[in-house]
Amino acid sequence: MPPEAAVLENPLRTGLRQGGATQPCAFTIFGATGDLSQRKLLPAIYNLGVRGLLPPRFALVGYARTDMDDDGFRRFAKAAIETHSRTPMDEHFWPAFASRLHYHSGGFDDDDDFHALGDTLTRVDDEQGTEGNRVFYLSTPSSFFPVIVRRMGAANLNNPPGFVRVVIEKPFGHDLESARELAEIVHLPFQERQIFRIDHYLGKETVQNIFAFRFANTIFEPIWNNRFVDHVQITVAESIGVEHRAKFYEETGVVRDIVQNHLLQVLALVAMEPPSSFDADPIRDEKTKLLRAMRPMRFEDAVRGQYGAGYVAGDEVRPYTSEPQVPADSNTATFVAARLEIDNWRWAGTPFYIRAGKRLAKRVTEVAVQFRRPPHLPFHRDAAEHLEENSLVLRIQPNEGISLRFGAKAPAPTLTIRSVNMDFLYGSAFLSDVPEAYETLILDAIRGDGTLFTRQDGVERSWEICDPLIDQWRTGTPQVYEAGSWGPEMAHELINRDGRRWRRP
Amino acid sequence: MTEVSDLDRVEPALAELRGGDHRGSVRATTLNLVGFCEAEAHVERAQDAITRIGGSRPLRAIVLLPGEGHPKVAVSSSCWAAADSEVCSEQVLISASRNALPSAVVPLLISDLPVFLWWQGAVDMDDEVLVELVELSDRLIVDSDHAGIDAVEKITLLPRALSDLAWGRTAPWREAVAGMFDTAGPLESLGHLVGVEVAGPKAQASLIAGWLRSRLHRQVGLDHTDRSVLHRVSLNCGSSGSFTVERDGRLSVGTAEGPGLPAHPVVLRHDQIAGLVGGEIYRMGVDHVYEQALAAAHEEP
Repeated sequence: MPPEAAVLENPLRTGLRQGGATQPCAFTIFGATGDLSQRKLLPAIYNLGVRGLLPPRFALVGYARTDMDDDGFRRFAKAAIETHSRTPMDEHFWPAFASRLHYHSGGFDDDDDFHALGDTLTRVDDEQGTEGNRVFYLSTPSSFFPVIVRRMGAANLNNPPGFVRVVIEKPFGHDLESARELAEIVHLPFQERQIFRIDHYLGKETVQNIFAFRFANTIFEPIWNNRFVDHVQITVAESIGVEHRAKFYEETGVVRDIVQNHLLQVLALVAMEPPSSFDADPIRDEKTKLLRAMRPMRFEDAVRGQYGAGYVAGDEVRPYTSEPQVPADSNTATFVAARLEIDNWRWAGTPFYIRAGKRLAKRVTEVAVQFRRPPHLPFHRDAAEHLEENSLVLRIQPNEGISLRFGAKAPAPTLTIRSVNMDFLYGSAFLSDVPEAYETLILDAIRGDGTLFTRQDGVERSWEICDPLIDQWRTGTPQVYEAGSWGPEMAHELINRDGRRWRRP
Repeated sequence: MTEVSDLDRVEPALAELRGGDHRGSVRATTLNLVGFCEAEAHVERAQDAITRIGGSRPLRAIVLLPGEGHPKVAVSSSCWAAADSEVCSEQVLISASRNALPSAVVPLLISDLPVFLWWQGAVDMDDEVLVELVELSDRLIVDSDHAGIDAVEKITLLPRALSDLAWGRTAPWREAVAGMFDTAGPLESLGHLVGVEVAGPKAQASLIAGWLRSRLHRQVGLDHTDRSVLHRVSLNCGSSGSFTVERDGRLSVGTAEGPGLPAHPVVLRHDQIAGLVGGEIYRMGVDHVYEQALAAAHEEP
């Protein structure tokens, strides 16, 4: 029996409410001194500890090139947590938590360093009782993934006494071919079930709420199809520019950065068939089936843009081509709008319009399901002339919630119908602290629950959908749009030609 | 709180409180919470706790205090920032003759939302007011640290889901104890459990012993030392040794250790009353593990 399956039945666990991790484990972060580790990983693991969700026997091992000892790493981690944690530092809890932190200094391309890491982990097992169970988190630039994974195999880190899981941050390749190459490399030392590809969007409570909304309610599912839904709009808008990520963004662009992962994952949750259970493979099977039914993106059905100068939230901002480290003649797309089609029984003929970009009017992520008009309105034409179609909006961020638009009689002596919105604010019904996405996902990786992680077949299919557009956009010039707008004019033409228009989120 | 002349004025008064707020408030009530206070001394604590609970679950709370004569009624509303608006919880305080209290509750419950009854007072199956209020409710919340575990055991005959705040206080301890037995060696030792030493309140000690008996289906002796809060739980596994969870002074952390188990930190949070009651209003069904632990609490070997 593989170690993952050897879960012991502890009779005292029955009925406990927390749902924390139980199996001992040593959690190693490659790139432990990097930005992601400081801002997200260390605070997330600390908060899991404060919430009592880490396994009773747990150790965190930081691995990076910086020369430091355990105490130095503990000081480093404390500073990162104090700066970035969503909860304040608990000075009473900290000493016990800090005693679980260890550090190993080493390079990413040195066999000796990886063998020495293995020795450190064995020592940690003895000191902390982590029983040879390992989670490795690759929090490094993606160019290091193949190198690190090969070194892990060479140092036999893929074959510890207990279970082993490896968490990989996106991007999983930069196209289909590189995704397959990366998978081949990762699959040499690790099996697919040991690989946890993290897309932090899926750890957001409100993204998971899409599952609950669709599959815990009977009133929406009967109309969740092409008979009732005219079209769907998905918007992932950022108001910020490329910030300090210009070099990365130049190589990536909006399709690789947002569409291939976050946006297609959200779309898959919105459009997939009901899974047989809320377990990893049934859900990932349905998501992949949905992506397989989606046509690859077409040049004719897409618009690319690049932000120019403008004003965002009252501040004047510079154009993309004036950002540091961006060439003046860059043709990198910072905006995409596209029309997608799904060839299956449920969605055939109902287009999905997507748009994503930087330096847009405001930060918002939402899914808007636009329903068809009633076949016949039995009112005088004047009475309903301002009546819009029903729509259901799932707002993912900010102001997470659900909004339903329907027609209602306005108070007047004559029959006049107006559209009104009924809003549910997620934060109004559940005002309690919401865990960070990384807390959810790291806990799931420790527990071995792959439900919210992406499987290789899903990754490959996402690249198959995006690659044709990425290829065609290697040349040519994007439409420049004013920063602080909703994208280039052609994005509006894209949807207007179908007799529809973008929502203003 | 704003006093109102009678029960019929409660809804208009609450509507006025909502409408009087020009910042725009959202009514997103998710439950009714009826808080029964046997004595006036309980009212302030209950109101304070309910206000805090309303900060995480918008609710309508109806606080009941036995009194005399014509019902005295007061209302208030508390609001919190939520997204670009704010969300408000409502409180109604009613003081009336004891027997009249259930009839005062009925018209004020928001329809079709769950009703939780938080009972602060003696627990007696023959108390008609308790029985009538339970009939209006989906869940009864009591505290065996105050009501006594014997009395609480008797009311399990009432056909409603039951929550016990004393049981809630043991939750982090049960997590910590269970966490010592997730691996093979310690789990095997658990098969040799003969007794448990608990330093803490009597009811909580009895519930922990009952929990071990009912989960493990074996006789487990209880050696209890009275303390005002839980301080130490030690499982005597005979020849396999003892597994112990102990609080670090008065802090919300402690240490768990046992044979073959390195000492490791555990979180032993002190939940205040609002946290305990607030935790129970997320539950709807019967807590079978609790009810089995309660039933086994007296099964001394």
